[in-house]
Amino acid sequence: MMRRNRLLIILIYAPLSAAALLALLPLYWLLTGSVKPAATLLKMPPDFVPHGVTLEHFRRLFELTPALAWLGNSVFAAVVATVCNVVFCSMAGYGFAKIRFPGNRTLFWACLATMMVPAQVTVIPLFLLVRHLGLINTYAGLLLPALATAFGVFLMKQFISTVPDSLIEAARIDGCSEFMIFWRIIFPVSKPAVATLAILSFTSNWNSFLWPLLVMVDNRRWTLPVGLAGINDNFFADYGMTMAGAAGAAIPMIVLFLTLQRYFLKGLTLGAVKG
Amino acid sequence: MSLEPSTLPALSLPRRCWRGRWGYAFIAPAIGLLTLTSLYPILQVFRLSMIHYRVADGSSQWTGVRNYAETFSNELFYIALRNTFVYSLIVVPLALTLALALAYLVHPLPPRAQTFFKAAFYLPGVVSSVVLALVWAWLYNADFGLLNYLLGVVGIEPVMWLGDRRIALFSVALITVASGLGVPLLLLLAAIGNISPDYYEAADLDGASRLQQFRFITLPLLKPTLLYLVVVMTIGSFQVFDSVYLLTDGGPSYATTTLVFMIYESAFRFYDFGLASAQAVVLFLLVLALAMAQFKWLSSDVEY
Repeated sequence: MMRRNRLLIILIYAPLSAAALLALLPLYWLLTGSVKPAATLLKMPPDFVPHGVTLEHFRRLFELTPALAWLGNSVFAAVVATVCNVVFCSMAGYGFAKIRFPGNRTLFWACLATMMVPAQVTVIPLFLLVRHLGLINTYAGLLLPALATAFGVFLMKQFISTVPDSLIEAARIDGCSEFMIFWRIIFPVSKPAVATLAILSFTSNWNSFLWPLLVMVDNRRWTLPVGLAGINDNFFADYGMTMAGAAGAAIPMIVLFLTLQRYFLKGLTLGAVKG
Repeated sequence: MSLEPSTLPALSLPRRCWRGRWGYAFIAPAIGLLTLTSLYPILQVFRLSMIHYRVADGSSQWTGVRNYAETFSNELFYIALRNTFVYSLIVVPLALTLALALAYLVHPLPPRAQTFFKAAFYLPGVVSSVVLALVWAWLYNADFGLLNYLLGVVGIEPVMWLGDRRIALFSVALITVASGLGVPLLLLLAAIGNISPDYYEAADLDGASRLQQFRFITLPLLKPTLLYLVVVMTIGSFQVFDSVYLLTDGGPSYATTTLVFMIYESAFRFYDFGLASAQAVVLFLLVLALAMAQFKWLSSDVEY
């Protein structure tokens, strides 16, 4: 019996661990590649463990490219988009979930319907609109599509629907204004959903590529992903610098994920299952 | 609502009217923004598809269905269509099968081990597709890449992962599979966890083998989740752009030109926004039809 259990454990952990290592290999390669001395980068056979660690690639990255500006742009864009998305979608979620008004259902369904359309379909008219408004190469143009998302509205509405009505009614009886009810009761109670939405928003904005590529012309205004594509074009064979840039874009997200893992992993089931 | 007119007869009517205005106030920012950035573009894309838009002065000229005719008579469209389908047919079954296998293996593990593996497989999906494309570009390098080195160790000739027309698309698909296991794994794991052990106990008593239990209990009960994943992942795979743009630029010889990439080129390399919009509409209708077809075909005996 014991032997059978031991065999079973090995049969499960062995392939899982192998698969996990394979899944993590690219990230490992990225991180080690960013600190490997230039001479050893293209060595064959490649060093699995870096022989010597260097920050030379990062130094060159910041010297030869506006990478610092890219970092700043990414942070600014992601934070602003996340805050706005969370606030606006929570408000809308509350409105749809807990307030009766004509057109509530219709507007909500219309909102959901827009989720069905792939982003690339709307990118062209959106680009022309932003261009028409004179917002090309501006932060306003960059942020405009990100400030509110249909998914965010959906997520918040679903969650806020589960807040007990009695809580809200009691506050209304006490004479609370709707805004106070939202700010003092709904918002704090919705922390799990808010956290999830914030995480998803931040991730999506930080990693966003196509839209920033189209909107930002001036290379000092690029976000990190667009900057990385630029490095790929201009410093084609410089794997060290490319990895350093990529690591710069990846590390914040990795750290965020490892520290806030709960919210990443929980968020999926919150929105997807049991509507 | 728990406090209905029966308890507050005098105050109910005016209250409801007054609160209605607040409803609009709360949804206004989000809905306003979405109307501008989602609804308006969706409607506009149809209009744009039927005009010839001159970038120089923003003037437009009605051309009716000419953009569509041009789309369907362009050989590249059919190449892109085929590439997109092939890509999807590689990515979705492969990722789903792997995720299912992994979920099945992870499910019986203690919570801490589960968390570790969930995190390990989800992590690659957390970083930007640009980052992944750049690393994989190096891994795929014909002379200095890790993959060809490993192949060499077992005596296989180096492969031109991104340079060979026949496998470039597969190489791009592999990246998506390797980094996209997180979401399906998590959903399937949750779904497997929701299956009551009673079913398995009853099956054990009847003498059913592991395999039989998987086939007749696990799989059928996972159908709703699998269906959802198939639809969502297919829609997602039709939108692949970043890796193609960075790794192969649609080549070699259009081997990796997908529908979305073709749309991008029409709009932002050839500046033919009308044509690109027509192509985008075709993409949208295709995705819609596919989603509906999958839903119908696969959910024939699914109970909710």
